[in-house]
Amino acid sequence: MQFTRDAVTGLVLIAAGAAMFAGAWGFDPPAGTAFGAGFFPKIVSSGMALSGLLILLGRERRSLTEVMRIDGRGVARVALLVAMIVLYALALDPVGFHISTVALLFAATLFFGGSLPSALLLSVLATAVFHFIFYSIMKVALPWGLLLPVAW
Amino acid sequence: MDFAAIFSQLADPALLLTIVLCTLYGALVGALPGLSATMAVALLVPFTFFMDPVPAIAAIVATTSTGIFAGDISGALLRIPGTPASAAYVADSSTIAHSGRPRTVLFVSLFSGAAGGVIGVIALSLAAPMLAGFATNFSSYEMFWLAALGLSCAVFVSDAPPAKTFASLFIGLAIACVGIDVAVGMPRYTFGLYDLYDGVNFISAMIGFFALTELFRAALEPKAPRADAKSPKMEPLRQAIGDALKVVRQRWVSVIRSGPLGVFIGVLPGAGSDVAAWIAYAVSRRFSKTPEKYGKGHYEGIVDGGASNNAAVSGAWTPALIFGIPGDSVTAIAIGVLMMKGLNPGPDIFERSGDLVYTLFGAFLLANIAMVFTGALAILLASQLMRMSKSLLMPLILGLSLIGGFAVMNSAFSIWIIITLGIVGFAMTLGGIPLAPAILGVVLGKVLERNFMTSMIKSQGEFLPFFSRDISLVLGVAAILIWGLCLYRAFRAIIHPEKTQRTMENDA
Repeated sequence: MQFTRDAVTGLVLIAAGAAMFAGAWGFDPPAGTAFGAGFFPKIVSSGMALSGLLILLGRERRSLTEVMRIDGRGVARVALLVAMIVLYALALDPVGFHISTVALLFAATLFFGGSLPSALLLSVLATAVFHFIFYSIMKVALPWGLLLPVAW
Repeated sequence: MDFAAIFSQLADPALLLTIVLCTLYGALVGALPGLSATMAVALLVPFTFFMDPVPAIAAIVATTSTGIFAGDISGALLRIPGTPASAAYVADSSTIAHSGRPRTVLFVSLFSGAAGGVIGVIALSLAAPMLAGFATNFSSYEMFWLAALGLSCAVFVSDAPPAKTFASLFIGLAIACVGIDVAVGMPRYTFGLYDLYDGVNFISAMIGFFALTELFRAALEPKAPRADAKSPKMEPLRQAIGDALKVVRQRWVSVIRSGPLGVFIGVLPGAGSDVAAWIAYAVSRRFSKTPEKYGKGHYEGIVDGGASNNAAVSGAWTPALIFGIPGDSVTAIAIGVLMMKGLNPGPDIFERSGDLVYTLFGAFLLANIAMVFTGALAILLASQLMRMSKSLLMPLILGLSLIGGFAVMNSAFSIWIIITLGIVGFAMTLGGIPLAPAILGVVLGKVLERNFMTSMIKSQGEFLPFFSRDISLVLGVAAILIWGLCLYRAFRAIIHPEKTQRTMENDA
């Protein structure tokens, strides 16, 4: 299992390095100079690909970061969380900060195993606190969206 | 230097309140298992955006030092270190805690932590001006080598395999490449998005890497394993404090030894409190008269580890302030904050804003003193803290991350950055690639590239002038030696995997 994981890691890094290197060809140096905007990215992308290659060949088995077991269910759960955040990013401006934040916190509390009453309480209370800290104290222009008519 | 002005600034009630609140916040986040001090700082940064420079930096320092101490709370009570810096002596502290003395052992680490922190601040305020005086005539060649050396040190001292640490560094440097380039002003890797012309917003990147990655990891487990609420019986508070004071007084040699050691390790780029604690613990064991007691509930290693990891917090600021090279991931974040405040780190920082820097040092000291009181409060509430449910905590972190990121850019675009880098960071942890070096890469990328390009243009594409000055020659040779050694280690792992495995196990 570990072998495959390092192989995947290495291959992904090589691919990303190659893509970045290809992108760097687009940054032509201005006329008369030997190196321009693409010079540094080329070094970085080569380094990335090289480290990928080393990981691929090295199959180093010792790693201090704890070993992760990931199954289909885990992937689905992470994807669900990502979907919730994406929806939030999309809804923030049109729907507004208050409605989207209550919805996100409500869903996230249930997602992390909280009970229905605690999700209700937490989402409303935390949104009120966030409103107070960010809007009232720090004067951040939080979008009101649908609630614009009642904004203060 | 105007002492009166510095003292009047330090006596500002708003600053004192900030420090007390942040030590409380650091104690809370540090005590919760799995939430690191770095994450606490990442979530704090959007708030510092709206503060004056001194309170902003004081807030970061107060949060980190208490967070590093508070990691011992869950380490002692649950055997799960709250932050990686507590891992070195968790066996000792939990053994003592479960033999009926949890408060004593926590007060021991609080007192030795505060003492180590004070040693760290003293060392910082002595060493930083000296180093700055030495570095004022550095040219772009020296600054390039320093930045390169800073990045390579991260590879050298990291616990992960060299190839993976390199990978992490290059991922960070790649992120730093996004945006208008420093040499000719050409937009790179922006995919036509105007929001990316300024580069990847640093605060959003930080939140994505440290907060979202943690959330994704938590999401992997369907039902968060509720921390076993059966915390050990607590002894009377007065007795605990008295005994702890006695323990630390008896072992003052350990504090004197491990404080400066922690400072030194903190100064090395890429090695922070966690490495300091491991090394101080190992050194302590080697010099101890009773090495066989280590790991079985011995106070000595706790004093050493506790003093050194808090001293490292201050040590990490030395290269951060003078060279703009972070000593650990927290100072990497702090450099971003300093730059935001128009307080660019550099050898001339004492000439440009000397009073401000000394006020900062004063604030560091206050933070370490405030920590004694808020830390004691955290110890009192320890068993309640441990019962805090993950299902309520994680949504709060999620909300705070996204809204904090939004507040800084004032645009929903920050949430896209947060989520993208959160996924990148999560993928990196899945592949066993450490996150901290990538942050060094993000922060140092622009510095490295600017000095590299300036030097290349000055030398008209020749590499030799990079070594033409005395100091740049020394730094350059050191950097190349370290690269060579890292490459050698990586190649040896390919050619003789078994042998490397064995020597690495011997090292560990």
